[in-house]
Amino acid sequence: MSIILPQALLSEILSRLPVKSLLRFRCVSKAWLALIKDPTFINIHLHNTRERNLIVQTRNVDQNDQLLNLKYYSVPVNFSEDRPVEVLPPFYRPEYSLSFYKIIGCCNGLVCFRTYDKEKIVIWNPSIRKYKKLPFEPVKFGYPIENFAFGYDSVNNDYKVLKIMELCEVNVYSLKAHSWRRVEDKWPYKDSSVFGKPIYFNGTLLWLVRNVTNRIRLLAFHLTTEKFEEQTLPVQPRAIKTLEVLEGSICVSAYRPDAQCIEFWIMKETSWSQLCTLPVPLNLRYNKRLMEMGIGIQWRVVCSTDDGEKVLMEMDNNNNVNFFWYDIKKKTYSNALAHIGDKTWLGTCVGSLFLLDGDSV
Amino acid sequence: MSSTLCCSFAKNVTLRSSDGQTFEVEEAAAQVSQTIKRMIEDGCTGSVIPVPNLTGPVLALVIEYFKKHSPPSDGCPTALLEMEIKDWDAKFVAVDNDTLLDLTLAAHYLEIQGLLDLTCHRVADILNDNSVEKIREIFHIKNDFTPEEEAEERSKIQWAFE
Repeated sequence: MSIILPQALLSEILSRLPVKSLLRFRCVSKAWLALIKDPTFINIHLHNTRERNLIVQTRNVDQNDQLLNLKYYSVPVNFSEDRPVEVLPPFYRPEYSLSFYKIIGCCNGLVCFRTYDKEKIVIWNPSIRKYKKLPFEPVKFGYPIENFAFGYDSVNNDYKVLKIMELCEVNVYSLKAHSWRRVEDKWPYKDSSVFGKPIYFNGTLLWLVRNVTNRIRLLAFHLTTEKFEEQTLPVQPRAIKTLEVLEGSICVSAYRPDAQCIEFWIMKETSWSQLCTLPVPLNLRYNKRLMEMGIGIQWRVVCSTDDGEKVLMEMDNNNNVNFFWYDIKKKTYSNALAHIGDKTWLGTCVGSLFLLDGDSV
Repeated sequence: MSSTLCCSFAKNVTLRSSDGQTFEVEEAAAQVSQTIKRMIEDGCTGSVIPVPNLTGPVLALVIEYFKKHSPPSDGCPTALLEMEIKDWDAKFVAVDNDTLLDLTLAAHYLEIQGLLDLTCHRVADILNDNSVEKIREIFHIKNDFTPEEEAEERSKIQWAFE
């Protein structure tokens, strides 16, 4: 095969390559290096890529349950039994404990971290192993991670980190401006607390919020207009347990104590539909009351296979985390990622070249 | 009576390749190509539509693609049909490299998004496992880095070469 191609077509072809190959192909020539670094090409690549990886955080503890180290692995979604590749965040220091690293969120292949090491917030791209440090933003020690959120403003082609202070004032960091500023709109509920992690979905950040009478709401923040807005929930809101994004849809889980099952709902366009129902295993039913109170086992969806037939589920039973694939049609379970020990966090990342020319400290 | 008859036949257009071969194809099918669609809308249907970038054999293949991907006359495609088309697509691009590139260029010139997606993915899959040196050979690219510059670029991302 020997080719001479129009430049636009070359972009189309290269934008369908995995990130690792593109990094190698930077060495082909100066023109290729310039193309692969180009912001327009990086956006085309993000649009065309089929590469999806699970980012897995694992911990090693000694006999006394003291943390020895944390490791990060990248596993392709559709080849989850493949050999995982270790990806070490460059800001990682082995002497810090698990609580020093908290994940704020994932978006377009980027992972936003908070480290308690000098209160740093960093945006990390595990595909290219680069990260960018945010300017210092003072926060109190022990400030809940749920009060931070990370997402993409597609109109301004900008990544933003939100910080909600005392559930009222809101500060936003813009990657383009590389600075923090106050948002005009204020957090709308004074009597409510956030539960679970916020998610990024289609230009908005979303939170589950519970008020003093246990009323649960879904709150959205538009990253372009920077305004808050309440959205509707599918089921009796008291039962809602988790909020996630599943392959381009919002997904919530709800506990049904009468049927001893967990329902998963996804939002397609503007209406909610049921994705699947998981029976609660018999041996876990004893803490039914705890579950009703929102304590105990949490189930959440992580991702699904490309054909949508299997969903990767996380079952968190008081910090004892297990993962399994659930086949929606056959209604069967199978263990997932059994070859990776003591997993503490899983997120999905598309292969992205973003931050290719960012800080690489 | 005659008007009913007229409507029961699909309207055809004639496409002419760079080497002068002509092909008749249903207008609706040919409009899978945005370029041809625009030409038809601009009133080119009366005469033959020239497709100067494609040779006869390539145009014949593209017309096969048109026929398979022309919008169904009776509403939405079924899931079964979609699966059949997917299988057909996979076989369609399982060709030798020269033909694959001809099809990729054709999809680019004629603005056929589906075919562009299909062929570019296939080309990317073929390129993926090649070394930098092999890529230069394939694309006739002269290495314009000095040895020092290349070594520096490589050292930045040494792990990608492992």
